[in-house]
Amino acid sequence: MLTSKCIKGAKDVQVSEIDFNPEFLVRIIPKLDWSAFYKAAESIGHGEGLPQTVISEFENDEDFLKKVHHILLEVEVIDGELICPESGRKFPINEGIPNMLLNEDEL
Amino acid sequence: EEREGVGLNPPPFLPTSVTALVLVHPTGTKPLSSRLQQSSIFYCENSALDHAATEAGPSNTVYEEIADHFSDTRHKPWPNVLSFVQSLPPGALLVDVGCGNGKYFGHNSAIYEVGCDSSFGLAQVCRERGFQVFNCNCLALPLRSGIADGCISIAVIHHLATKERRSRALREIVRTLRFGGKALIYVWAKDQERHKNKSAYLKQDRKNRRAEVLEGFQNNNQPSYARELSCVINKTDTTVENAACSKRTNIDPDNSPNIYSDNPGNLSFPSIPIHTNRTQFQHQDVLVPWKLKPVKESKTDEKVQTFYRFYHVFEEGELEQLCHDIPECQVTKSYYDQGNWCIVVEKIQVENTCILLPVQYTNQDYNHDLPFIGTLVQHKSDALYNAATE
Repeated sequence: MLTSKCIKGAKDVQVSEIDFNPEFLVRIIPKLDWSAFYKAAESIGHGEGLPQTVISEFENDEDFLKKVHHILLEVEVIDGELICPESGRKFPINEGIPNMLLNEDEL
Repeated sequence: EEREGVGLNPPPFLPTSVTALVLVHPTGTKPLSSRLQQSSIFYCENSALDHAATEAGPSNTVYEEIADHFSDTRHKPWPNVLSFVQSLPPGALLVDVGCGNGKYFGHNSAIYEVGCDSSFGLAQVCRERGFQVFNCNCLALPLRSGIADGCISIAVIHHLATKERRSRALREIVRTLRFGGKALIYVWAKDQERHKNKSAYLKQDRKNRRAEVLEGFQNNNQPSYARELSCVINKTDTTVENAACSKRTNIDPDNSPNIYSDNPGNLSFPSIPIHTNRTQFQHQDVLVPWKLKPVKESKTDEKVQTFYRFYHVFEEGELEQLCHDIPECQVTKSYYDQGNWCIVVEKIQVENTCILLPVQYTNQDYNHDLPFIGTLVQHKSDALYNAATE
């Protein structure tokens, strides 16, 4: 199904403040599909300063970790949509909740 | 008009999209009166009902109290589930499939938690509480394969109407796990009393039941959650619920009133008994009544609404058996907990994998990474199932 995401035309993006936890981030970063993450951040105007590929030895790069922390945990799309880059299918995001329900006949 | 039921062998499967049922009075052979049939009697295990209910269902008013058998399970997390969540290592990704109001979130600050539920109303509750959540069907998780370190699915798959769908939900969970990742699954047990200990569900009585307030349910999206999963009946008659016995009755489809003008074809309708709350289950497939009472501030003529939610309650070993048919799924723990059958499964690598492309399969193109091993029989039955449904 969706292997990557692209958020276009996000109508409402919210930024909050979350405690910075580098140990947590170091473990989460390897799980990210980095190119999807990068594209998503860029598409909502928060891609500044984020490298296109994960830097090696990011564990000690606090600047990098803080950038990831900010986008991953502090920036949220409240209203917008997710668009599948393969099918073009749109999944709306309302009140911060993506709707990825399928139709009856697809189940 | 009330008609007499005639004996009928139930069909070998339940149509699983929108299924229209004629409800029967549990103690009799007669279908419910036409007054009820004129209202939106739809049974549907999933959110398609929301559309149907919106057309014919009750007005949108604010409901505050939820029926009783949803009491403690709605607010008190099961301790064994909590310890599973807390056992996940730092940096783990936990997916809660069917997370409801998010009561299993926030107990392990070292992990990343995300939940999904088919209900928008409940997802809103999770958001209000600061948790990450999205809407989806548990039969089609929009998650990358192998991404989850842990998964919980508590009291979810027992709402699915067929074995094939319950199996599919488990497969989706296993697909989402990484190798070595673990999932904890809870389903309602048919046997609510084990070794002479009654479950908390059975022990509730009228005096002990508290008025339950589902947090955050104070908005006009109600009762979409109930509509999604339940049969909606505009009902003032409480006799159906108070019936002592939930004996299954049969209906002759040729003589049954055709409730819906868009009733598809000549499907015979199985009858599903209505369970009497706080009693032992008499059948595995039941409709459990769920009362919604209006808030005090609303009009005094607001009726008590009763919803009927489908449950398939599990026999001992049944959940494990479902897992045995899933190649990468290994049961590592199995237990009974307060009226639930519970398992922990681990995703393992399977040797000698081969992929048998099925002749006909459902629309699950995204499952190509799931190895099919010796499951030609399953594919055949899927093909038959699809043909029969059409």
